Amino acid sequence: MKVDPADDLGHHSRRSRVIWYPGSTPAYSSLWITIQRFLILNQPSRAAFAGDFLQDNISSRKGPSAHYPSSHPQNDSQIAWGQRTVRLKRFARALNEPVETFRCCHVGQFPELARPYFGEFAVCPHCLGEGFHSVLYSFEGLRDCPVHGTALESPTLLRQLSIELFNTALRNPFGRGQYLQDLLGFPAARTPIAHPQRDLVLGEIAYWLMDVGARCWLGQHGARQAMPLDAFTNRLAGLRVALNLPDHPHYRPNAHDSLAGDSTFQEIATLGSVKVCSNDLVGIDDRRARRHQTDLNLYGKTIFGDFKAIRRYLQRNALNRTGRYWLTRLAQTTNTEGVGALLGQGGAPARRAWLLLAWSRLIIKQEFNPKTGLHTRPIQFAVSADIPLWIANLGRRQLPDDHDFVRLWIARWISAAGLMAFWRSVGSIAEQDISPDVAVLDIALLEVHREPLWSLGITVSNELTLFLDPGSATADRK
Amino acid sequence: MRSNLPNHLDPSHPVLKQEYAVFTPPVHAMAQTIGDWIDQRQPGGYIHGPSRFGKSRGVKWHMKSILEERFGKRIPLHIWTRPPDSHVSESDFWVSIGLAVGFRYAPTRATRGDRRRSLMEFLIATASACQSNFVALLVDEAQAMTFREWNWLLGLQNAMDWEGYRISVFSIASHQMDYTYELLGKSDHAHVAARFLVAHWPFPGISSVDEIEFVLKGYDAASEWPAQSGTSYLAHFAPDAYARGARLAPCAGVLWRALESLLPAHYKGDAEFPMQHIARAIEEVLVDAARGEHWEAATSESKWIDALAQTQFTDHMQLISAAVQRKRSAKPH
Repeated sequence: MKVDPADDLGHHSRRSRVIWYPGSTPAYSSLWITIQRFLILNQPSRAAFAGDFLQDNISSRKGPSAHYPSSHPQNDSQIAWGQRTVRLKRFARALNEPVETFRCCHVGQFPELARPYFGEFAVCPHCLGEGFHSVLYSFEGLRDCPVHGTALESPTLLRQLSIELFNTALRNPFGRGQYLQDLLGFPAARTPIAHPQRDLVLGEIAYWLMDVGARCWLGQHGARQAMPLDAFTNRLAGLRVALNLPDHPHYRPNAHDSLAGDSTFQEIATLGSVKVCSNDLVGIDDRRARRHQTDLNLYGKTIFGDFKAIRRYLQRNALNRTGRYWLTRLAQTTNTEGVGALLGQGGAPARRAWLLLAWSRLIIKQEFNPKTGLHTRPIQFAVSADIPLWIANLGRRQLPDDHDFVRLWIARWISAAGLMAFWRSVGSIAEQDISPDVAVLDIALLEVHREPLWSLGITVSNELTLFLDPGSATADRK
Repeated sequence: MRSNLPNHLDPSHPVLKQEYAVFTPPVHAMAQTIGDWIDQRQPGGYIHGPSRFGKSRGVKWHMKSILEERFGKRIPLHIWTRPPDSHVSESDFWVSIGLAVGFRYAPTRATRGDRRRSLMEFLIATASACQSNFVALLVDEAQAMTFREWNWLLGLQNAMDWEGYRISVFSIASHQMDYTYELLGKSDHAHVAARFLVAHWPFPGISSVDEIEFVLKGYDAASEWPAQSGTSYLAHFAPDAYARGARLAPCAGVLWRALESLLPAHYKGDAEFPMQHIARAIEEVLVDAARGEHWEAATSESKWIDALAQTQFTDHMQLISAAVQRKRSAKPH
């Protein structure tokens, strides 16, 4: 006997469904083409689609129209072109597709540094007929379709397509265009044709563009215009050689992989980028350099923010659910007997949680002490007098929020790398079979605090670069 | 809603809410018949039987799982209970089916062509999700389907056929469907009858003591509430009697006699009884047992007769008898 009808029976389902073919979205598909396929298959009204998948425009929540997203053509264009106004997670859930399907699906997902190199909305007419389009077709370095070899078309470069397609796409990206529907047809809208060769080419371009933003490339600040793509590419190649970086970056979605010790150069976290105008490069004996002041308060706040971010990350990724449970209980315990009892009960997950807690407390106690913290240590640029010193915002009128971001950036990297290296050494303690008698870990166990090996290099074109080698620690201290 | 329920009864119990379905031999036979039709890729078929025999409940609660068990995979089976006014416009017709199958954008403003297209795309998508090119649509309450609706479904079937997908339309209806086939055949809609109504199967009622016993065993043992609790319906209602070994199944003979005794005079039909009346009588007995009535008294023949009489069983069988008589007299000698 049944007391609950099978919820997968159509009209008893509590969840309404949409028309989609999970797994049918080719890699590097643009959000625009995915939405267009969705609109063709499902035929929702504009309001229904907006209600389901578009974010409300917060700034316009004043009148009756506040419940609807802005329909201004320019906004729509921005949405298609990279503004995060589509609820991607919800959209992915409705389509029963993994969120990773929507990686590289609009310009906004690419690093800011690379965005100037995205030009007009461009399409390959043949790919479009097969149900595919990629935002990478707008990348300046790609002129022809990697599969069909045809020239990519844009509003200013029309060959086979009508301007109607581009007008509709740019003015009304969430509206179903009849021209596109006729071009695609329902079979292509259901399941676009896949081309592994295309995926390979677009994958390389996407990796390259992502890599550009994943590192701190210097010397772009203040540029009125983006430098030509060729020059930009050459410059990146030069910096890559100077930094001894591999040609193909490896993405490590698994946090535990990135926690593993590695003696080669590696990035631990992307903390943003700093861009410096070439005018800010001054001689080491320049009076403007001596005049420069460092705001230690800002340093402390920023680095403490980084520490909290790293701690959150470790709590979520280095500890499992059980570990987080023990972390909460251990954090509330105020006496050593209580801690000992909890460690005895919790076993390995509790020990790991305790080490994370000890790591966190030690960092707060030692590193954020105003007298001895990392941010207060002088960072010496060991460069010769012949090479210009690089300090930001010199020679200008001092503003309240004007700070030495370059030095701060270096300090943040070193701080983050040091914190992670320290955690790795602590983590290795957790992996050892420590006797339960050592319930309350003495702080002495955590004495080995390693800072990463770091150095500043300079290229022949006077570009300052930062090297980090967190795996080969040299500076031990108590 | 019942009054003066004992404290040990949970008001949200499915028996008290009448939100449960008993698996019966006729339901099993119906599922086997539909399964055979699917095997044969029949474009349509209809199942007819008197009302209250348990056709709709069987379809709603058991059909999908039985068919999936039989075919060993997911089946794109959709159930549409035809509303009385679905024939008013084609747009409303597609919206009604779209809502029934769970399509998110069924009520969206669109032309009737777009609505049919969307529904077709939805059905194709569900077929693809099951790695198949076949979809089954079960139409409940199909006895009132009009010629126009049959023709709309015919159009949908043709359109899907053009796309390389097959849709079978299986109709569940009460007695009137017997005549719809002939009516369609004699009018200009023979093609519709040939498509959707040639294959047919009469849904039987409960027709033997063994089947009654099977149903009662469902309450004794083959039921559970709350889920995973191991508590059968009888154990929930009469825990003490259940612990002493009392069961409903031995009452099958008594209940059968009670059913026969309540048949109207000059009853013309076969001895097939509606499941709904049997279920209501069993519920009454369960509640009486829960109120502390002695088990033997609660399950005596007179009690069963009283319980059945409360369900207007005799009046209902009178209607069935009249319909049977009408049908027999309409058949050519």
